[in-house]
Amino acid sequence: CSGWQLRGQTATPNFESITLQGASARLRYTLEDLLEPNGVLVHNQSPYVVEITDEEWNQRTAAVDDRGRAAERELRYEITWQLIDRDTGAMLNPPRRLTAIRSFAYSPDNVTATSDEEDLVRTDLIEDISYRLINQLANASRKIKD
Amino acid sequence: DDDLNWVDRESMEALPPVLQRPIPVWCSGIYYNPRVGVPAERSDTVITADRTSLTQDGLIEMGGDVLIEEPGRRLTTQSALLDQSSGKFQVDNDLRLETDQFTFLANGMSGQTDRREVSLDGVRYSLFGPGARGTADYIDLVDNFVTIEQGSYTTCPPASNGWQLKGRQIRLDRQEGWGEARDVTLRVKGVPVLWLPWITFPIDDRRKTGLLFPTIATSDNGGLDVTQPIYINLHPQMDATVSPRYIDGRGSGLETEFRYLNRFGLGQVSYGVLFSDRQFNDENREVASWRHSGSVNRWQLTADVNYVSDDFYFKDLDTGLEVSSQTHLPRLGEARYYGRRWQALARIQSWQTIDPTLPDNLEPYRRLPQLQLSGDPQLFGPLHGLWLSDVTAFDRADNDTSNNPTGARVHMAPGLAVRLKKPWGYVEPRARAYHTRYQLDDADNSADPTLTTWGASLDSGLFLQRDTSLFGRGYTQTLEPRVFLNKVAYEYQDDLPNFDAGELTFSYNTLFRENRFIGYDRIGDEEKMSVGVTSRFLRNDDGREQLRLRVGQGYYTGERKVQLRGREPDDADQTPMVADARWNFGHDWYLYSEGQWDTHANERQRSSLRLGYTDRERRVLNLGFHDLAEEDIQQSEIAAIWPIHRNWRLIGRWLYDLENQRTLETLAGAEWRNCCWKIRLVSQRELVDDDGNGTLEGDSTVLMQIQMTGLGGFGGRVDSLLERSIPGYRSEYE
Amino acid sequence: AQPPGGQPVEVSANSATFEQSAGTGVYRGDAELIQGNRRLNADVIRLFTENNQLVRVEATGNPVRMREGDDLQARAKNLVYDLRARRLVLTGDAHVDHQGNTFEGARVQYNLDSRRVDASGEGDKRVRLVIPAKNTDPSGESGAGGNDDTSDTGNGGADGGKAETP
Repeated sequence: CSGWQLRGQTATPNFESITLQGASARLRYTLEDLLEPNGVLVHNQSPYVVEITDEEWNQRTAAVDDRGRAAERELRYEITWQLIDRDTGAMLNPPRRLTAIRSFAYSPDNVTATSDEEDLVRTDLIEDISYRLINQLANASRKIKD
Repeated sequence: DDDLNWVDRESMEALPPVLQRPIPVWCSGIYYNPRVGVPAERSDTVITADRTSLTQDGLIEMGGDVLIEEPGRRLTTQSALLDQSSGKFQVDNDLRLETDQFTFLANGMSGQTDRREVSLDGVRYSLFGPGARGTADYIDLVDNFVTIEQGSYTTCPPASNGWQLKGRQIRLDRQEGWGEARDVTLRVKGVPVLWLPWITFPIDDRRKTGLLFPTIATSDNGGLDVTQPIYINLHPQMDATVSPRYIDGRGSGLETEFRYLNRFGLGQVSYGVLFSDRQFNDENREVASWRHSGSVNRWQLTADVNYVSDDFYFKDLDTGLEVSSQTHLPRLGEARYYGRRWQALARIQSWQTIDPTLPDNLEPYRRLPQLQLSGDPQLFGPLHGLWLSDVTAFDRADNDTSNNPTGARVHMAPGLAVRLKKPWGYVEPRARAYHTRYQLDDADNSADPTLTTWGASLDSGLFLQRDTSLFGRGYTQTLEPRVFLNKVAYEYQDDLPNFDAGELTFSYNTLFRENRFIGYDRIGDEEKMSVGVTSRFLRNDDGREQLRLRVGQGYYTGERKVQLRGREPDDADQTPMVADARWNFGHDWYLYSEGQWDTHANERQRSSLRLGYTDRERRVLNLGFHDLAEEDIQQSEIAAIWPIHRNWRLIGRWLYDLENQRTLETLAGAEWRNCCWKIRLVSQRELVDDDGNGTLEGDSTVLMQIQMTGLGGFGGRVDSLLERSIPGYRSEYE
Repeated sequence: AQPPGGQPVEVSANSATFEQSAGTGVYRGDAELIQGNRRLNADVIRLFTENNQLVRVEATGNPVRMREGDDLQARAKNLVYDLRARRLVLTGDAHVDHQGNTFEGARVQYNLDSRRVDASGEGDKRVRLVIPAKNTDPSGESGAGGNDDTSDTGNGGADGGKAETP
C-alpha cells in the first residue's frame, strides 16, 4: 500500500536523558514509564530540561438527569510545557499547551465506583497528554540535534 | 496633559517597535517611560548643569537646569547637592525623578546613592508595574518597598477620578506583589464610600483574589443578597478573604476563605455560616471545605473534605447548576507514592450524601482506610512481574447492614507479563491470578466468602506511518492497529458483597481492559477479542497531533455470567462499535466527537460532540452535545464569553434538555471594563429540585460585581460562577 | 624670580622674548612651565611679574594642558594662573579631571588652597560632570582625602573614567 512503513525511532526523543521540572508526581511517573523503556533516562543532570509551567485539573457536570442531578461528569486536564537548555537557560521550544477532556457517566447510587472510574479517566488523560508531549519532544529533539 | 509619563495608544504606536509595550485593549494607555532605558549594574552618572562645584571633601553642588542621568534613572531639578564621601544627596526644590519603574514629581528629595534609598516630599507619582498613580505628602523608597504617607492610590487613567484610595499610610511590597493601607478611605467619583482601619490588596496578578466591591445579587424572595469580600494578606504564602453577607428574608452570615502555600503543596480552607436562616426554621446554615493538592518529590498529597449543614444549602444559598446538581460531597484524604516501577496508595474516603431522594440502602460505602500496592517490576529480560494488593475496610453511614454488609476485604492480583516492545510494535502476553478474601462484621467466620479465579490476555499492536499532507501542510500519518485477546475464568460471585464494583462507561479504552468491572468485588468472566485502529496526523513542523481518529469493537464468545444487581447473564456476541475523533485546529480550537452504536440493534448508544476555543485572554467558546441513549438524556450546551467592543464582553450559557424540551440553565450577562473598573451584570436561571420531591422548579438570580482593576480585581461570587459554568474560563486569564 | 610662597618656576620653550619695562616674558612653541608637581604645556605662555615677583601666568594652546600630580589634570583653550589669588581659571572648552570626576564646561575655576573646582557654562554650552560608577559609592577608598600642595597622592586617585564630550 502507498508509502506505509513500520515506524522507526521517530516517536522517541533522541536525547540520552531529560530533566523533568514542575511536574506532579503522577505525571512524572507516566512520562518516565513511557520514556525510559525507549532509552531516554529521566534524571536531574540532563542538559535538556522539560519544564511543566502549568498543570491544572478541572471537573464539572456536563449533563443532568431528569431530577436535576449530575448524570455526566467531565474531567479536563491541561498542562503547559517548554524545553530549556540547562547551561544557557535558552528556550529551545516555545511554551506549548496540551488539553485533554473526557466525560464519564456519574451514577448517584454508586458513587464509590464512580470515584474509581474518575481515577481511571485521570490515568487515561495523563497518558494521552504524556504521549502527545513525547511526540512533540521527539520532533523538537530532531530539530535541535541536526 | 499628564506629566507622569502616561503613554496613550497613539504615541505608543509612534515609538520604534522595540520600545513599544502592549496596552490592554480596554484601556486608553499605560504608564511607561521609553526614554530612560534599562538600569545597568555599574554605570557612570552624568550631570549636566549651568554650574557645578566640587569641594575638597567631595561635596558636589550643582545649579541651573540640573540633569543627573544614569541608565534607567533621570533626575531634573534646579539645584542639587551630592556628598560623595557619605553618598548622601539632597534636592531642596522642585524635581522630576524618572526611572524604568516609576515617575515622581516632588518639591524635595534626599537619599543615599549606594543603598538606593530615596525619600521625597510633596509628591505626585506614577508606578508602572501596578499601573497606579497618586499624590503623597511623603514617599520613601527602600529596596522593593514603597511607603506612601498621607497619600492616594488609584489605577484610573489621568483625568478620571473613578475610584481612589486615600490613606494615612500605603505600603507597597513590589517583590511580594501586595500593598497594605492604614486608616484608608475609598472614594468613588470623589465621594467617600468606605472607611477601613486597615486593608491589604494585591498590586499584581500573582494573588488569586483582591480588594473587591460588594457582590450584589437578588435573593429568591426578590430582596437583596449582598456579600462584601475583604481581602487580607497575612504572609507572602498565605492570604484570606472574609466576606460578611446579608440575605434579605433569610438573615446575615459570614463566608471566610483561607489560602496557603507550603512545602506540601497549596490548599484552601473555607467556612461559611448563615445565622438562623428565617426560611429554614431559624437554623444556622453552614458549609465548610478543605482542599489541598501537592507533590513532594514522589509523593502526591490530596485532600478534599467537605461538610454542609443540610441537603439544600447549595440550592438555597449558592448559584449555578454545577453546585445544585451535586448529590454527594467527597471527604477524601489521600497519599500516593509513584516510584519507578511501584505505586502505593493510602487513603480515607467517604461522602456526605445531600441528595434527599436517595434511599438509605444506596448510600455509598466508606473506605476507612484503603491501602494499595501495585507494580510491574522487571524480573528477567522482557519478563515482568505484575502485582496488585489492596486492603480496604468498608463501613456505611446507615447501620441497617442486613443486605449491605460492612467489613474488610483483601484483594490480590499477582501475575506475569512478557513485554516485547519495538518502536514499530509490541506484543504482551499476560497471566494473572485473582484472590479476594472478606471479613464481614456480622457474618461468623465460616461464612466469610472468598473468590479465586484467573485470567490471561494478549495485547498486540503495530505502528505504521507515512508522510502525507493535509490542507497543504506536511504531516506524518500513523496507522496503529491493535488486537487484544482476553480470557477471565468464571467463578460464582453472587455470594460476595458489593462494596465498590461498578460498570465502566463504555468507550474505546474499555475495549482493552482485563476486568470489565471497576473495583475488586467482581472479576468479570469473559472471552473477548477487541480490535481497534487509531490513526493520528502529526504535524512535521512541531510534532503536534492535529487529528486523531479511532474505531474499535469487541467480539465475545460464550456468555458473561457475572453481573451486578442480579441481572441475567449477557450473551451478546459483540460490544457496540465505538469511534471517536479529536481535531485540534488552529492554535486554540479543538473539536471532539465520539459515537457508539449497537451494531445488532443498530441504534445509537452514546454519542457526544464538543467544540471549544479559548485565546486565554478574552475569548472563550464551548458548544456541546451529549446523547446518552441508555439514560435517555439528550442535552446541548453553549457557553461563551466573547468581546464585542474594546470595553464590552458578552457572557452566555445555555444548557438545553432536548429529551424533555426544556432549558436546564441559562446565564446571560455583560461585562464592561476600562483601566479603572470591571463591572459584571449576570442573570442566571436554573431548574432545580428545590424541596427534594423530585420535581424541578425554576430558580433565578441576578448578580452584579464591581471590581477595581489593578487591586487584584478577581474573585467574588460572579467569578466563581463563571469558572464553574464556562469551561475553559479561568479568572486569572483576565 | 621667586613666586610668593610657592616653589621655584622653570619655564622653557622654542623661543622667548622679554619686555623688561612691562615685566613680562612671552614663551612660544612647545612652551612648558613646571612648578613643583604642577606642569603646564601650551603653545604660548606669558609670564607677568611685579617688582620682580611672578604674579600671573597666561597660557593659550590647542589645548593648554595642565597637570598637578595625579590629583588634577586639565586642558582648555586658555588658562590663567593667578599666583596671588592662588587660583587657576580655564576657559574655552575647559576640561578638568579631579579626584576621578570629570568637569567639562565653558569656564572652570580651581582654587589651589581649598582645592575647590567651580565649573560654569556660557550660553548653550553647559557644564558636564561625569561621576564614574566607583565614585558614587563612597566606600571610603576613593573619598577625596585632603592634602596639601605637595604631590603625595594620598588619596588613591580613582581611575578617571572620562566620558567624551557628546
